[in-house]
Amino acid sequence: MTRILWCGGSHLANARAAIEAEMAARGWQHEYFITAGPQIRNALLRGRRFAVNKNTITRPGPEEIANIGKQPIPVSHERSAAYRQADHIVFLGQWVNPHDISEQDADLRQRPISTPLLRAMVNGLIARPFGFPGGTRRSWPNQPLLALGRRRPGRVHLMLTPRPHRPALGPLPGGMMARVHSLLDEELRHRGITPHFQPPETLDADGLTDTRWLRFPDTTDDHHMSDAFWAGWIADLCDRIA
Amino acid sequence: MTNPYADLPDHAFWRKAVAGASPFAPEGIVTPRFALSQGMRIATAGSCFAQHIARFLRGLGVQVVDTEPPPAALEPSQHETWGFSMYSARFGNIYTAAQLAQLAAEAAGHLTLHDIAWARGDRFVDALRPSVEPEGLDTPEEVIAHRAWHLTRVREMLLQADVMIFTLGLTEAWRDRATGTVWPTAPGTIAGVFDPQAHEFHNFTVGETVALMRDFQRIANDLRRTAERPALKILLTVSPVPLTATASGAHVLAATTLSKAVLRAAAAELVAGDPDFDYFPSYEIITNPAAHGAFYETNLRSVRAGGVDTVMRCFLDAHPHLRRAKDTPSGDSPTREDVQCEEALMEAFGK
Repeated sequence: MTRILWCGGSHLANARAAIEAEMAARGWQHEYFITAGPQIRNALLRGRRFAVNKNTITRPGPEEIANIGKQPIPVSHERSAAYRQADHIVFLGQWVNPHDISEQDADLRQRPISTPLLRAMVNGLIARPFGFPGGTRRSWPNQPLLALGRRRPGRVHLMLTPRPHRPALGPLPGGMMARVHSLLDEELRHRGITPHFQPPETLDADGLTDTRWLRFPDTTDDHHMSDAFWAGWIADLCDRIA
Repeated sequence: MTNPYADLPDHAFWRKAVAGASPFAPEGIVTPRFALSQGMRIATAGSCFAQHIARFLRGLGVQVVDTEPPPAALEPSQHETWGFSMYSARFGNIYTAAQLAQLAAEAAGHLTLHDIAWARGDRFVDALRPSVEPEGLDTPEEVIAHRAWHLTRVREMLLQADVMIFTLGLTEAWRDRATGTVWPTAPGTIAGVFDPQAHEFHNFTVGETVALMRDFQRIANDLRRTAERPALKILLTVSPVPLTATASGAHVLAATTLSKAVLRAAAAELVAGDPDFDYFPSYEIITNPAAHGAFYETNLRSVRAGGVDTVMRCFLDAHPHLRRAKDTPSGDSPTREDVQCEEALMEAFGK
């Protein structure tokens, strides 16, 4: 019996229906942990490390939200056991966003970037990602991913954040995103993490996720994907794991 | 009975101003010709010591021009490793006036340099800024493409800045015999291959240094005129950091003395002849005999954090409008970090 531990935040929440269906079809056991997402971020910003209220990705209720960060919530024994017992640990989204390379730099489409410099930038995306209040970068968001990669090399997977449908992000010049993916692949494997990139057929001509895969194709939410999107990618991932 | 010295202020007398005064708070040593203030856009360039100035100004919240900023994804701890955030563009250390004038001429489109891609192993570096890509680039063509982008940034810097602070560092340089291209490092030290037939040593004189700084000023102001920008103000300093090595044949102490004297004299001549030039005495503050060498590290070359703090405190006293209301002139200085200095690599070539 294959046991999968799914970790992540809002993207994991959006993928949950697809995961449930795929796990049931294969007869695999699985469990969820929140390791990313705004609520975790807010708790961490208040000084709590890896604070998790429950091993569920259900949106926290008002009371839970009010209590986040107010009391120390240690990593539970169940959680540690789940990490140890899982055959594979799959992080979904987490805080490794390939598109942050271009989203943060308006002139990246013009300036030449050497491969060694791009590698250093990719390392920055992994070790100190963006996306926190005030535009700051933090080293802790990906610590669960990096720590587990060291402990369970080859058993830890990362489904990288899908590219938002955000016109400001693309297209990038001559193969830059391909170079970013290649370097991310190299760096993540070096850290014991097996990367899984968004299926290319879900991208449009500008390298953005085609609107038909968005949870809200009217782009009111430009970065969360539909059940159909996740169903295809998760089935593919499970084939690779199996 | 009176005499010309009778009514002079204390700072005119060695006993009061040097022998009997604190080297940490020299009074009356700076008399700014033009004031710097928070709203000004200040560009910085020069030899290693100039990195302290940029850091200090950034720490004050001054608008230090940066037309080639680091990519956002690059961790701040990596910025200087890749030549970012050291100066107002990614040009690395500019040790001589010749280098500065040459860079401005390139940026303005008056000069195209050839043979700038020097080999380092199987990689290539830009000979004019050999440290900004520590791992080098794949091909000479890539070096040229990166330099073309860099020059657009330098041009933008020359347009944006209200004031440029330039630290004169060296007079000794190596250049290409055929083209006159001046290199920041000797061929064969960091990269490239030294060829005595192709490369020559040159020790710039006062007259040459003055002329080169005026060339730089003219090129910058010609550019600025097209954009209806006023003339660039240039604040000169002389680096107090001695030469790591000399190729002049002289003793390195004598060579250092000559080099600094030339630079100091050139700065004085420029300031005397042009109201758009000014001088700040960082060299004098650090080499002050009253400090008994205390501002230098044990290698008697690198400047200690305390020395940098003293220089910057004097700088801030001379330009109080750079200070924000909440700032204090001392404290946790942003200037304590190490500086990137290719010239120091010459040490490795000493026996």
